[in-house]
Order: sequence, then C-alpha cells, then structure tokens
Amino acid sequence: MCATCGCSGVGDPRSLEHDHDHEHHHDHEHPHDHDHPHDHAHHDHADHDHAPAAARTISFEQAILAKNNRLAAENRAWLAGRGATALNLMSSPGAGKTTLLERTIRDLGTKNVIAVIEGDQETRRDADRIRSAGARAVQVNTGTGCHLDAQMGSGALRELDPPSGSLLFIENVGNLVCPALFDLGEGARVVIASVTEGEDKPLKYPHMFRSARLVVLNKIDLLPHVAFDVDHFAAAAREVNPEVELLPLSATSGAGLDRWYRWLADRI
Amino acid sequence: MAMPRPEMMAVHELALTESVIEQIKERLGDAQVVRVRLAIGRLQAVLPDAVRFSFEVCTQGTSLDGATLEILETPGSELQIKEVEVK
Repeated sequence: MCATCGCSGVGDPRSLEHDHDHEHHHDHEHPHDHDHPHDHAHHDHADHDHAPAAARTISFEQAILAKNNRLAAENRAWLAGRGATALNLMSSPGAGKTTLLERTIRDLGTKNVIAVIEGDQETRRDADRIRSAGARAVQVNTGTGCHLDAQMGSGALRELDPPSGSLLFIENVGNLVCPALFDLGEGARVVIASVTEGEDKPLKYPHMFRSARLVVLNKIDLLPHVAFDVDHFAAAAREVNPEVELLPLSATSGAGLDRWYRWLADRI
Repeated sequence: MAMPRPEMMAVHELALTESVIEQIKERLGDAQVVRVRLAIGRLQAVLPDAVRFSFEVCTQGTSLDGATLEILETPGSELQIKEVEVK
C-alpha cells in the first residue's frame, strides 16, 4: 500500500478512480507521445514508493498514558480554578486510610470544608463512614479495577463539586502497585503505611513510595506490641525517595496528629 | 487453557493495554494493524508478560486482532507507543 495516499499502487483498480486531494509530484517530464487510454491525472508517476501491499510503519512516540495524563491535567486545572487542594491517599488495604480521614474530619471539619472521593472495588461502606464523620463523600466502585484513574476522578469531582478553599481527599483503592501509575490531578500524593506491615515495604514497592510527597506511618500506638523499627522504615523510605517527609502517628490514639494537621494546613 | 475474560483481570497492565488500543484506533481508524511496538521502562511496575496477555485478549475482534506486539524494555521509566505497522 502507498504510504502517502493509501492506494495499492500500479494496477490497483482504485488507482484509476483517484479522487483524493493530496499532491502528486511530477519531477520528470512527460513526453505524452503515446495513446493514453485513461483520462485521469498521471499519478502513477508520483515520486512516492508504490510497493504493492507492503505494510507501512507509522511513528507514534506517544505516551501510553497520554489520555489519562491529559484528563489529570484538566482535573488539576479545574481544582486550581476553584482553589481546592486535592491529596491522593494511597496504601495497602488495612493501613488505616479511612480511619485517619474520619479522625481528620472530626478534628478539622469545623474549620475547613473537607470532601472525600472514596475508591473501592465494591461497597459504599467507606463513603458512609466518611459521611457519618461529617464530610461530603462520593464513592467510586472500580469493580475488578485495581486503581482510580483520571476519568473516574473527573466524574467524581464534578459530582462532589468541592467549594472554593476546600480540602479534598482522594482515597485510592487499597493497593501499593497500580495506583502509582495513574495521575488523578492531585496536588500531592500521600502514602500511608502502618507498623503492622513490614518495615521494608518502601523497598518492596519503590514506585509507590518514590511518587509520594509524604509518608504517614500509622498505628504507632501498637509499637510496643510489634517488631517494627521506625528508623529502619525511615531509612528504607529515604532510600527510594530521599526528599520524602515522614510522619509517624496514630489515628486512634491521636499521637502525632498535630503534625499531620500542620502539614495539611501548609497545603491549603 | 481458556482465556479469562478481560474484566476478570485486575491489573494495571490491562488498563495500559486498553489505552494503547484506544489511542491506535483513534488515530488509525479501522486500518488493519499488523505490528505494535511499545517501550516499557524497567523502573515502572509494569510486567511485559501481563501486557502481552492483555493485548492478546483485548485485541480480539478488533482491527488489531492478530497483530504482533513487540515490547522494548528500556532502562528508564518511559511508557510509550513507539510505532505501529498497518497493512
């Protein structure tokens, strides 16, 4: 097939009915001393290659996630336009994302407007917990999907309609792998780990920890009962992400929450 | 072995592969695709084998059905559609 016009070259019946409008270059003289049985322009002599039925290669050089990244940029602009701060919270299941949010809403909800996008594979349980704590929430169920993407975020943002100056938490699907790839348009990413997990988790899931601005280490009230070395964890987190901030706290006992609230206040 | 339905696979490689197919169809319409070349950086948590599997499942019945998938594993963190060959 011709790479320029899509016709199949000399002898292709379609080439006799050429009515498309691209330029056919004639860089040689046509003597026209023979009888022309057909009345079309002399496109057989174009200077492009008419290799019959050959495949043609098209250069793309396009990001696989181009569409997601475009939508994420739109979300980011939309959030900036109304002065809302969005944080993408990511962790493995059970690290305490929802518990930390419930506590945060109860403690800060009177001063700040807080809204939450809840990502889970199934159920509305987390959105119900957030609403009970006093914040607006939209639940996104991903079905078997393992992460939120910018398109889901876009729909949820418009439904949630966070007012100007609000603090928006996006609680991603509990998973330390897949969500790292998908920009949602957030202002910063927060990874939540807990002392009941391995202290080498940052080394095992470097992509997730590398993309985080802040790592929250939750459940420090349990430290007396588990073999978890906070210094080892901090060293592992800094090994994959030297710039990362680390914030040990307990969403249930309240230890360390003042630092979390100061960090949030600095973002708004 | 029976191929699982795409919606049964809960991996990000499936979403990436769907994005590849969508972008190719957006640009090339129904032109028959015979080869797709991707670049996947080793710093990304993306398994080439899972992409190959997703590609085989998701291209069935599309203009990419039967296309050869080539994956260049690169040292960095790129995730690119490099080139596409059509017939």
